[in-house]
Amino acid sequence: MPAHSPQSACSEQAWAFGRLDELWERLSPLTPYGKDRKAERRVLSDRARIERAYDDAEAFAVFAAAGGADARADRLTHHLRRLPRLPFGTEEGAGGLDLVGLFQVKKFLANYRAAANLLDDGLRQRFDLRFEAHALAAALDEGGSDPETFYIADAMHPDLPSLRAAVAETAAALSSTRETDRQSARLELGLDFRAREFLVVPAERARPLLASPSPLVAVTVEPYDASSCVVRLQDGSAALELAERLDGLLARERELEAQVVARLARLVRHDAARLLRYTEAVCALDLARARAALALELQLTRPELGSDRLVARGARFLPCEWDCRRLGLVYAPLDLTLDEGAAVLFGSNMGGKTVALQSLVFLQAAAQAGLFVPAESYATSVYPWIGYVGELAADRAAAARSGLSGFGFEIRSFLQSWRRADAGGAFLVLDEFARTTSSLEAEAMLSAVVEALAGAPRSRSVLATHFRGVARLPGVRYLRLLGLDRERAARAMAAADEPLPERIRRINGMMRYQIVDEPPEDDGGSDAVTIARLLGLDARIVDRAEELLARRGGPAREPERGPAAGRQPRRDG
Amino acid sequence: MILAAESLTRRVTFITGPEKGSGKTTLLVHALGLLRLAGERPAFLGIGFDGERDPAARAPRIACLPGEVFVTAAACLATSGCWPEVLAALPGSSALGRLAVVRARREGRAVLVGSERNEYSARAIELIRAEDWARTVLVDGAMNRITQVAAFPGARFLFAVRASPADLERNAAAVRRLALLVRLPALGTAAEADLDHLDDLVRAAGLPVPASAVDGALTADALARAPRTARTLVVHDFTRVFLDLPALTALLSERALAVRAGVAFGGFSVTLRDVSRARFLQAVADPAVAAMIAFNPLETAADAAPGDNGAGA
Repeated sequence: MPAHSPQSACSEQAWAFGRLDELWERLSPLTPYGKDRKAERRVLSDRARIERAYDDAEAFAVFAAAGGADARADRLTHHLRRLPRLPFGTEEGAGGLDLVGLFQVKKFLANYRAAANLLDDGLRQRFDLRFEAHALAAALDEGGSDPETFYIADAMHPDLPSLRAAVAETAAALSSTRETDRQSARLELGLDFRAREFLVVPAERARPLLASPSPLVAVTVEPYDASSCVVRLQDGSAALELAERLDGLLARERELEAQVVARLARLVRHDAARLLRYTEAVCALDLARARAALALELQLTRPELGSDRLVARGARFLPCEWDCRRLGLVYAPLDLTLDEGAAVLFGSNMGGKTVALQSLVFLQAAAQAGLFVPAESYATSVYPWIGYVGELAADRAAAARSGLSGFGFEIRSFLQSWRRADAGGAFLVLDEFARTTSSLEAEAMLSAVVEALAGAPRSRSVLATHFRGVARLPGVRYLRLLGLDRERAARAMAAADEPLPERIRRINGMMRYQIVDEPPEDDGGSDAVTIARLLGLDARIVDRAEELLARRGGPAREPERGPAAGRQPRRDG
Repeated sequence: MILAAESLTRRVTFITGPEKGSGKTTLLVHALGLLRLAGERPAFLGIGFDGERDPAARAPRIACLPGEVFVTAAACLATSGCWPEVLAALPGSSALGRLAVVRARREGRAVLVGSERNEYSARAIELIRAEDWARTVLVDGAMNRITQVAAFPGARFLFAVRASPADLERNAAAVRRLALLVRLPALGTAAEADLDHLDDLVRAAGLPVPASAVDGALTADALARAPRTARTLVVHDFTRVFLDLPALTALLSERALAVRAGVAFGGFSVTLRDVSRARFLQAVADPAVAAMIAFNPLETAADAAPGDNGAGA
């Protein structure tokens, strides 16, 4: 996997947590420049640039959908796919091109021009696909069997036609002389050199060649092994003379060709800035085509940026939806409206808290990467940073190697995101923060973190946690996933030997993934214990757990109430 | 016939050998000659350098005719004398710089320079075939480069060996070992994706079960780690087998060995020096191998006479 762009407004951890690669790999630019940009995996923080990317994709989609545009779009795809990388990346780098470099420039111009000609005026202007390098293109077009190949043509230097005629004449004479020698060797000596540069001949046949050389054909004879000799045809005086003449002509041709290459390279250098602009234009076109194609393929919707609220309607976390389809599970799209800067999300084990956070990161990072998103609608703001605080296996392992404990890793991870949020704003998700310490300490830490995040300007944070004792604070929204339908679960206990995939399917069928505002009172009973039972945990243990839970009075302690507890606006998802 | 134009035409043929100096390039030149006599305009390229220290000096220079396509470094174009037409620039580079696919516009000498990365050579072959620049491709390359190139439909490889009394046993063993490997049963690439049903695929191929897949190279260590109960071992392809002849023979006497991806084999080209054919075959000690060998491709027959237009060997 290529490195994340250092300019990206999304942390690698958030990108990985949101499984963005699974969407990103479907983005299919065709040119080397579009592929370079894709490899950067860059998430933007400049709203104008993001909107421009959306506008470009929409404009391309209109072009591709226009009546009779299929053939044009196919031809455009053809030319973008064939467009090579220029052999230089800076104006200075354009000096000193060789034959292959000139070929690349010619092929680039041929496909760039063809692509530009396929666009309508509006799209050409939008992407600034002008073609002005007429003199350079004409000079390069002189050499090549077709627009995509290149050689030094006779017309490129006044002395080349006569020189090459002399080369051809001399080479033909030499070839004819050597062919005559081969025929003579075959007829006079019985040695056939037609598909061979030399022959291995039995010694008894080679000896006469030395003893009485043929007056018509000269050969050299060298020992090969005890019973054989290597025999080679030797050029006669006529062939030697022709070969020497040919060498001289070829040396002169190399000089002339070098002059031509230098002249053409100077033309390229003169137009280098223009050509580099062309690469930017064609890159923008290529990415717009790729974004439009992805939007069409996955039925994506243009996000609305600049909203003070976060509103996701029918939003699909595609990697999870694809997983569910593969596993035969039901996928529930996300519906959520958030006015507050911070929200706390409670929910059962296996109830979808992590998936809800992943969905939010997925949508936000995709939107800020210039992609449309899988949702009926998605309104959000553009954040300077998208971060994730939680446990990714690889990061945790790396932290352990550097001597950090689980708690140390969590704090360090939060600190990195908090600095971003505090400095300029951020979109953060925190998954089970403070899981590695005691519940009392965790609830205190979480309460303080939530309070701080709620006060961070230009930020939106969502924290998922098991700890129900988090302080209820003003300006913070408290949500929960509906969780297990325990009445159904009670009626549907699994057989002891039911395979795990079946158990998971069963739990999935009974889980309600809708996000709602936290109810004022807990409804009693424990999803965790019921899920443990559904997953096949020994009934004696589960029964005992339920008994102990009942003695303690329910699954959660009563939360501490902040000054505004119970006065939060309540909305249904 | 192992070495005939018709067996080389319209396919990718990979010419390889056990070590440097085994006659790969000589065989390539001979194969090019056969194709030209048959009116074919082949493409040819090299892969890797067999550890050459000075690739510029040691890269083979091969005569090319108008219309023939080859892969070379940009730095070698000016001296080719063939009025080269650049058809494609390849990604990456070689020890001699950037590589290109080139068509000769007249007779000259091509400096064969290959990419150090298999996928770039595969890309060159793919281009040559897809763009219809040539229908016949000859590849001069090291043994460990076979797998990827041989993935092309109809591709096959030839194995060039030079043997003299001093190295007879070593080269005969190399031939015998390879003859065993190329005859391993191939399960097909389905076995790659369907490891859960490996036993079914192995049974369908007429081999004993249970089977066990060897991930990566089959070395003596990997063999020691393989389940003792496995009656058939399955490797990706024969180039992943790193057992010498005695170890391979011992393995095959106890268990079956199969490959997932078969690589078509065209035969051995054996050049002998102070060794008779009978002596070489005796050293190989596998009667089935004789039919897979073309001996001394550059040797002309002892009884060829003046006026005989035959090809000699």
